[in-house]
Amino acid sequence: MNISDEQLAAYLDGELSADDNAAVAAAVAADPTLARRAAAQQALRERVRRAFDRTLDEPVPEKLLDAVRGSTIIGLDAAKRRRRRPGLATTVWIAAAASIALAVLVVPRLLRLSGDEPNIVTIGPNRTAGGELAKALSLQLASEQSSSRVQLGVSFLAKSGEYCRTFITARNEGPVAGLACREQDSWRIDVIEPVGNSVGERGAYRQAASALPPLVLQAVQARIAGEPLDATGEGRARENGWKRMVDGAQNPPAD
Amino acid sequence: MDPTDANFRDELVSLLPRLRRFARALTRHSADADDLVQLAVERALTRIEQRRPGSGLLNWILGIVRNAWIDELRFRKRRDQVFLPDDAALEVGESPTERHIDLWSIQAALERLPDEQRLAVALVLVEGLSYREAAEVMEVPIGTLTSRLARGRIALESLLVQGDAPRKAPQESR
Repeated sequence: MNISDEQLAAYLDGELSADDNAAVAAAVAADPTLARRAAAQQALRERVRRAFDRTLDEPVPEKLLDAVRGSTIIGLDAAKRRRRRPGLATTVWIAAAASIALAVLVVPRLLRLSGDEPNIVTIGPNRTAGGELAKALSLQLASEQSSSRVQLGVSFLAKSGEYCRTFITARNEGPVAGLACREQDSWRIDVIEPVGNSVGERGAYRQAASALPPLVLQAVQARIAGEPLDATGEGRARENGWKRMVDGAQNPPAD
Repeated sequence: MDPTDANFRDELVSLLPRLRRFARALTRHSADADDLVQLAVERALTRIEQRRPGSGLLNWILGIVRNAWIDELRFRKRRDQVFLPDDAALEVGESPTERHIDLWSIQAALERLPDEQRLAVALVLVEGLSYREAAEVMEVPIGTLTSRLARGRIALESLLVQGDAPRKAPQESR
């Protein structure tokens, strides 16, 4: 029996009639390829659900409670004007920033790099980005497809006030991922780790985030203040030369 | 509306966490998502009379969130305006766990989907609506919902899994 994507999805969602359900279940049981598809889709379903469920535990912001309970009903226009922040616009702009995470996720697959550019310069105890890597860190946005052999992942403002970026680049031994933070006029490399072959067996469903090697991931988690920069934020940071931000100065004035 | 309709408001308050979750599936930025919910809540309060009796409050509001989202997207696309990053971009003090990062990954992947597929995924996979309910919220026939959902799922899977499954080692290739 040929099972379409729609039938399989409906099966997993419990949307089929009893007869159809039995038919798809039998087909899944009989066909290992189909069973793998079903397992992958089921894992996706659970993963999405789980990831979003955590937002249910967050406290609801006061402004939303006020919006419901407030005795004065205000019109839409007023609501829009009152919203001082750009609002959903960022969504559109963030479309580009989708690649923030995706760049990180997809990169290991895309890398077909080799060569031995002097990308990493060791001076005393410090490692500093050089060559192509330094250039990419300074100039390349995560959302930009680039012909350079460096791929940028997440950019963020660290608790220290420094801008940091994850990257993946090639060395002779294979791709390496790292975290670089901007010092006065150079990129200090805090962590560097090979992008391993630690891929589970075929068909195994792993957390995509683990495409970043664990040391880099931990370093990001330890440093990041808030969320990663979106494409607009990244562009602005680049314009400002990734200069360290004094507390509170990273945001434009409210008005 | 009758400002004494306290029941309605209480119900609405109890739905806020779910509305926020749904909005987060539509817009990646949590502050944007909250703006969207706020807009929808305000619309709901001004349109309470338009609610069809018998239709569930949740689905009704989800429909309002959806419409507000579509309006905003159109509005912003038309304006083609450059926006500055905002203060809410940084939720200082919160250190992301792997779960946070996984949520970001999924949100980023969702943003790559066509709007209608994203809606279908958000309603069914994130909100757990039945196909019939989701189709109702999206105001489309159930067959349309089914096909958008299936396509959205496949796309989401390949976006998320691509990064998950780098090439096999050369010697293993066939």
